[in-house]
This record gives sequence, C-alpha cells and structure tokens, in this order.
Amino acid sequence: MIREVVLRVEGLRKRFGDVQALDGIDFTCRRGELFGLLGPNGAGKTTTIRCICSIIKPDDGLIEVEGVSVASNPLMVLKKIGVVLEDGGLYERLTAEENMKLLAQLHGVEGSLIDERIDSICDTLGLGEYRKRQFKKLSKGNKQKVLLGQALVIDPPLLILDEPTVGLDVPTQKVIRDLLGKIKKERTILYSTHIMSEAEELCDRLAIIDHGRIVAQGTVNEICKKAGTKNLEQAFLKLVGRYA
Amino acid sequence: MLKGIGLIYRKEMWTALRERRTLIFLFLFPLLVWPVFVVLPWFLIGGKERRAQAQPSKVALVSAYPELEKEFEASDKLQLVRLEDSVSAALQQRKAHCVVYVDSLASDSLVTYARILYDPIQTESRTAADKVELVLSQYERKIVIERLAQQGVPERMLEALSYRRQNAMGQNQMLGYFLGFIIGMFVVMGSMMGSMAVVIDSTAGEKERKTLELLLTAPIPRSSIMFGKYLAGVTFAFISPILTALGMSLAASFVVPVLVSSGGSVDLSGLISPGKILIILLVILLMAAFIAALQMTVAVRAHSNR
Ligand SMILES: Nc1ncnc2c1ncn2[C@@H]1O[C@H](COP(=O)(O)OP(=O)(O)OP(=O)(O)O)[C@@H](O)[C@H]1O
Ligand SMILES: [Mg+2]
Repeated sequence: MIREVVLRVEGLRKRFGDVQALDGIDFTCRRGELFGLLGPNGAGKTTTIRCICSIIKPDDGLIEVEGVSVASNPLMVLKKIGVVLEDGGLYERLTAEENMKLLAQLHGVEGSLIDERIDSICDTLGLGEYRKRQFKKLSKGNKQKVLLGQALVIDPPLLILDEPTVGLDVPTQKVIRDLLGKIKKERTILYSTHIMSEAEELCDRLAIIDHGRIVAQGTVNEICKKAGTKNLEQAFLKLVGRYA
Repeated sequence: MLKGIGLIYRKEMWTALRERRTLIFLFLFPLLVWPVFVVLPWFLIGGKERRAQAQPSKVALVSAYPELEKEFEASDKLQLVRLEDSVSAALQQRKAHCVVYVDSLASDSLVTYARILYDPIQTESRTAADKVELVLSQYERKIVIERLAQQGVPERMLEALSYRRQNAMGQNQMLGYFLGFIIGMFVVMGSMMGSMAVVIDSTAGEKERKTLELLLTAPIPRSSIMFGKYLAGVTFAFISPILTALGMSLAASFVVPVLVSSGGSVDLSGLISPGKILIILLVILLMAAFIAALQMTVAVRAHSNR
C-alpha cells in the first residue's frame, strides 16, 4: 500500500552570499513515516528545515505539506507543522507549562484540550515535577524535552526535528528516542541527526545530504546496498566521500 | 489575526513583568528615584538658606570708625569676628562669612567708601553680605538724617518714593511651571526608559535567546507578531510617564511650598481639570506610540546576523 505524501520537497535551492547551501533537494515523506536527514556539518539540513517552516524563503523549488504549497499559503502550512529547531530556545521567564501552552495557543489549539495534551506530554517525557519551573532554571535535557513537548502539543500531522538529541546524556537520548519510536506510527516525522545508530534504529527511510545535494535516498538497507557497505556509518562515509 | 496580536501582546507583557529590571524601570524610577533626585536639591538649598538667615552671620570689620563697629555689634543679625588671616583664607575656612573694609578718607570729605568682600558660591556668605548691606544702609540713613537736621530739613523730605518687591506668582502658578517644564522633560525620559527594556527584549532579545525563529513558525502573520510586540512597547511607554508624572507631582507638592517659601499644602484640584487630564493622557499616548515605534525601528535592526 502506498501511503499519502505529507511532505514534498522538489528542486529546493538556497544561496547565502557565495555559499550554495541548497543545490536542488528532492525528497518526499509519507504519512506515518519517520524520515531521516543525514549529512555532515554544513550539508544543508538546517537550511532545508528552515525553508520548510518558512523562516527563510528558498531561491527556487517547491515545498508542499499535505498538498498545500509553502510559497502560496505559508500560514496554512505552518498550522500543520510542529518543529524543534536546531539550537532553539524558549521563553526563559515562562514555565515549561506556560511555554507549551503559548505555542499551542499560537497554533490555534483551544481550551481544555491544551491542558490534556500538556498533561500527557509531561507524563510521557517525565517532566512532572518540572512543569511549573521557569524554562531558564531547567537542565539542558529537560529544556530539550520541553522543546519537544512544545512541538507535540500542537499535535501536528508533520513533526520536524533538527538534531533533537544533540548534547544530551544517554538516558535522555533514550527517552526521546523511545518517544519517537512510539509516536512515529501516527505521525510523519522529518528528523535530522548525526548519530548513525539512532538513524539506523528509528528511520523508515532517509536521505543523505552533502553540499546541498541528496547523494542517496531510501531505507537503510537500500542505502547500504547502493554504497556496497555493511552498515550505515560506512555507507555514509563512503557517500560523502570523506574517509578519515 | 487579531487573536495572534493578542497572544503575542499578552506574552510580551507577561514575560516583561516577570523581569525585575522591567519592574525597576517601570515603578521604582518614576515613583521614587526621580522625584527624590528632583526634590532633594531644592530641600538642601532651601534648608541651607533658611539656616543662614536665622543664625547671625560672622563678619570681620576692618575700619577706623568705632561708631560703625557699635552699629554692627548692635545688630542681632551680625556677629563681629576678628580677621586673623588673609581675606580669602578667612572666607574659605568660614572663620568669617564676609569681610567689610571701610576706607578712611580725608576728614573734609562727605563720603565714606566701604567694600563688602564675600564668596558668591557660599550661601552663608551671600546671606551675610545681604545683611551687612542692610545694616550699612540703615547707618547711612541715620547719618544723612542727622546732617539734614543740622540744615533744618525734616526727615520726611528724604522719602520721595517707597517701593518693595513681591512674589506675584501664587503656589499654583509655581506648580504649573514645575509640572510643565521639569516634569515634561522627565515624562519624555520616563517614556523612553519605560519601554526600552521591553522593546529590546522582544526584538533583539528574541534573536539572542534563539526564540524568534520558533515564534516565526507560528501560523500567524509576521505583521501580527510585530504589532503585538509594538503594542507591548506602547503600553510601557504610556504607563511609565504617567507614573513619572504622578511621582513628580507628589514631589512638586513638597518642593513648591519651599520655592515660594510660604509653607502649607498645595491645592492641585484647581489646576488640573478632568478635560485637561484627558488631553494630557492623549498627548502621552501619541508620544508613547512614537517613542515605541522609534525604539522598535532601531532594535529590530540589531543582531540581524542570521
Ligand atoms: N544565514 C546564513 N548565512 C550564511 N550562510 C549560511 C546561513 N545559514 C547557513 N549557511 C551556510 O549554509 C550551509 C548549510 O548550512 P546548514 O546549517 O543548513 O547545515 P547543516 O547540515 O544543518 O549543518 P550542521 O550539521 O552543522 O547543523 C553552510 O555552509 C552554512 O555555513
Ligand atoms: Mg544543522
């Protein structure tokens, strides 16, 4: 059964000065799929994500979420997206709970639904005792959990996560990984990471980006086969052509 | 769209009011710090002047006229002291508040010349010089009357015109001056300081703390985000000067009695009618809108490195 396309990216290009950050990116994510974006530093993962969330405008290319084009109706698209940005923050003076509530309200979630969702998110993420604490007083791991919670509270058809586990300790990484494993059946998740084992475990399909181009795309097995290697890490190193 | 503005506005107000810095700028400065800064000097100067008036001033008299010396001794406003050092040393060390030199002239001259040496920077010295002038003029008058009497001219011939100076401004006018000029200045400053922290926090601050991009992924128009933030700035730029005006009016009701030196409380009710208050509020609102816009224009350009 071929599932419906939730995110379609075609021919995406973006240039910053004399850096061609994106040089024709094409991929699609289908409903219920966890799609991984892998690539070395500066490959263009974050730039792709910022274009999808209309934080920046691409120079060229098409982005569609559930058939709605970002270029022609950005607000409608944004309604369908919950996002954890790379190196993003939340309002320091607001509590974990208030931050999530604010984002939910901004996305048009209303009434008691917000509280119900926050309750369940705090439960799953183990944020219970921290939910009434100001964001700036939280540990890095708990901050990241709140950032994730903020994206989940919107309950979006498309969840976009830019390196959500970077800089976290192993137990916190596992909490987030387990959560993603659990929720990926109901949602479409676009997910960028550097951690190969994580990608191997979680991703249904993935794309390897380098220098603003997609060098390989497919399931882990398909990519390994294409590169002629045993595991994803070797395939990655071979494909981006940077053997140590 | 309106809902988006409302949400952003509420968020900005809420986060700002949780910041101690905002509260200090919004309440402590307008209500306490500035009024005290304005009132204190008036009180210090006023107090010093009154004290100098009440106490006898120390005067060193250098003269060959024992009668004049007697005249000085007779005045309870003056206290004669001896000049031990140079004039400037005596004045600087406050051993004497002023020094009077009376030159002796040839005995056939009808005029005696006197010099009052004082330090214009010292309140006590200025007051002492005034007092000496008064004593000297009374003494001169006494002599002139005697001379005229010798010529058979009655004393009343001396008086052709009598005049005196009087403060024609009531307390309310003084208050009006105070409110209009000094407070006016502080109100503009209050407005600027009141909104500065909020405007910077909600623009450059969001970039710096990396919250802006997430805010931009909210499905509301960017103009709504801008406007919500702007309105928060206007609110602070509006409230702060009102608090400043209140604080300063309170301060004025202390200062003005000192200025017109007549004690008693000041009646504000006649001065400001509800209509005028409405106009003042409207003007402050327009000013707040302008100031917040100005600050926002500058602040959004800061840190735009991404
Ligand atoms: N605002 C910007 N101005 C100028 N150049 C930029 C900007 N944003 C990104 N770039 C450049 O575009 C390229 C792609 O950057 P991007 O952040 O998308 O990489 P990435 O794949 O997310 O890397 P990382 O794994 O380090 O997060 C880099 O060369 C980067 O220096
Ligand atoms: Mg990145």
